[in-house]
Amino acid sequence: MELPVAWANYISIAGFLLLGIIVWAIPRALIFAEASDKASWRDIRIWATVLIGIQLGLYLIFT
Amino acid sequence: MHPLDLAIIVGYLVLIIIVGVRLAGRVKTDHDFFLAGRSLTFWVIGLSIIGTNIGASSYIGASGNAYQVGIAQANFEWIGAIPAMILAALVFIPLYWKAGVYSIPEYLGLRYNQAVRVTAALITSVVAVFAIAVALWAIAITLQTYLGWPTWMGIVITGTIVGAYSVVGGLAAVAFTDSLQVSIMFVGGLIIVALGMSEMGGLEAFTSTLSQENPNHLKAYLPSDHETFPWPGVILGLGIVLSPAYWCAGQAILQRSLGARSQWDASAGMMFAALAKTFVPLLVVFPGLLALVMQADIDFPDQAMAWVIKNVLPPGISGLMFIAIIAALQSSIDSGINSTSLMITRDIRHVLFKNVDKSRDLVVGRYLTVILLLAAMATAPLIANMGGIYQFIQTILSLFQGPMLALLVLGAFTRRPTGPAGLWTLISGVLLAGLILWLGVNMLYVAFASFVYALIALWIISGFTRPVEAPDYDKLTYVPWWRKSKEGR
Repeated sequence: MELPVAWANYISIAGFLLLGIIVWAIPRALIFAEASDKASWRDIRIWATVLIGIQLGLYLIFT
Repeated sequence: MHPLDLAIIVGYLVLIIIVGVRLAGRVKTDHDFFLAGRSLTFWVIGLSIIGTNIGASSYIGASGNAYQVGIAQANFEWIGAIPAMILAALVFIPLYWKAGVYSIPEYLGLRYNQAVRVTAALITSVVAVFAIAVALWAIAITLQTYLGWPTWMGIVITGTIVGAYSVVGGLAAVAFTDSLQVSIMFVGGLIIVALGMSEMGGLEAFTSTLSQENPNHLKAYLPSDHETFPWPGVILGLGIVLSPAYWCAGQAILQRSLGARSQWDASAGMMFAALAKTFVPLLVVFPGLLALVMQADIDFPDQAMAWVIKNVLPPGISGLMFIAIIAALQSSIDSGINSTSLMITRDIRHVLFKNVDKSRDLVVGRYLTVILLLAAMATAPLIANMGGIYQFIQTILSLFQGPMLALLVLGAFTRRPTGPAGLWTLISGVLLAGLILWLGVNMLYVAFASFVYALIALWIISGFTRPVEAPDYDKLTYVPWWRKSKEGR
């Protein structure tokens, strides 16, 4: 049985959205452990969100 | 070869040796040698991770695959890397950091038992020696093609250069030279993109030509009955098992994270690597697509990259791209020998020889680096006659990754798994994966099936066994926020 290829893109997009929720569930204290300061650019949850945004774009474009 | 290309190549080699040897003065202890004295900053870690990751298969194989299957090859850089890298940065690296370990087998040893530690270190080390030999052989072939050097000369010169900075400078030298090498790779790759686009008349003309003649080449996934990359296999095998096993448990990758100057730098380094990884398809997938659109006159898909370098790039830039390929291979070799030396010195030697003198770890690590490099140099010429063996070794590693990831995930998130259950699951999981593979099942599905089996087996066997010595669960298991709040009440 052949499964539609579009499902793969939908699953990937759903997976990245779920990952975004997990990322923001991680406490701020853990993110800044041993950081020299707590500047917002050091919040790697924001880096992760940018990454997830790019991936969502890629899997929407290459459908 | 154009004199400008030759000048660039010689300049690069001199620079790499200077950078590597200058860092030698920092190495006073085994801690400095294996973990760079915990001094690495996030950007060095990130670039070094990418340098370790991009190897012979990326430059030659990935562009060849892209020529055949299109953008779907980029899944190895996107769904097959980014989610696992984010989880490694936010969950697993903080866990290893808290445990204070030098290696992933050491973490498994603390969480399960020393037999699991030795087994994991042993399998990873054997595979690494063959992987280093393949990279050396690939460099020798590249040098033969471009400079006309005999292969033995390419192997000896490359081995000597990589050995010079890896043996004296340890992880710090490896990480800094990796960073330099990755910068060169990106510069070379972006120049190919710019010149290729210009040659084809812009992005729109490029994509329209590509999609007219190869309609599936701009689709991220291939049909579910595709022989090599069926999409369910890519998501289940690559996305859920092989990628997390590589990014969350790969010693060569994570060693630079464990050498970070702080936990934040360790996690941010992996996240920075993930940002760079997103753009790696420009370096390794785009040239394959470009060769296809430009109707390259090649006999095999793996010749796509070489064709692009020869036909698209002007003198000077082709020398830079040649360096980028050499750099990709060198950064995989240096990381491989450093991490394997660490695993043999600590995870195997410390466990099997109880009365070992730990103060000699630095000397032993350096000797082992030389021995591993010599072993790989001796094996490299044989690779040409036993290509199937490398494939076999890669398959063995893949068989091991499903069960190993199951041990890591259950061991990190729950307190139920015991040491004896870990060892039995690891052994039976590898055997089961071998059996399924023997039945002719696609490797991606084998990885997923062995992972699921190992999760279930570890859970059940742990119910009948007890740890010989209770691990320090507070240090070795991840406590998510919802359990923390319960414990706090």
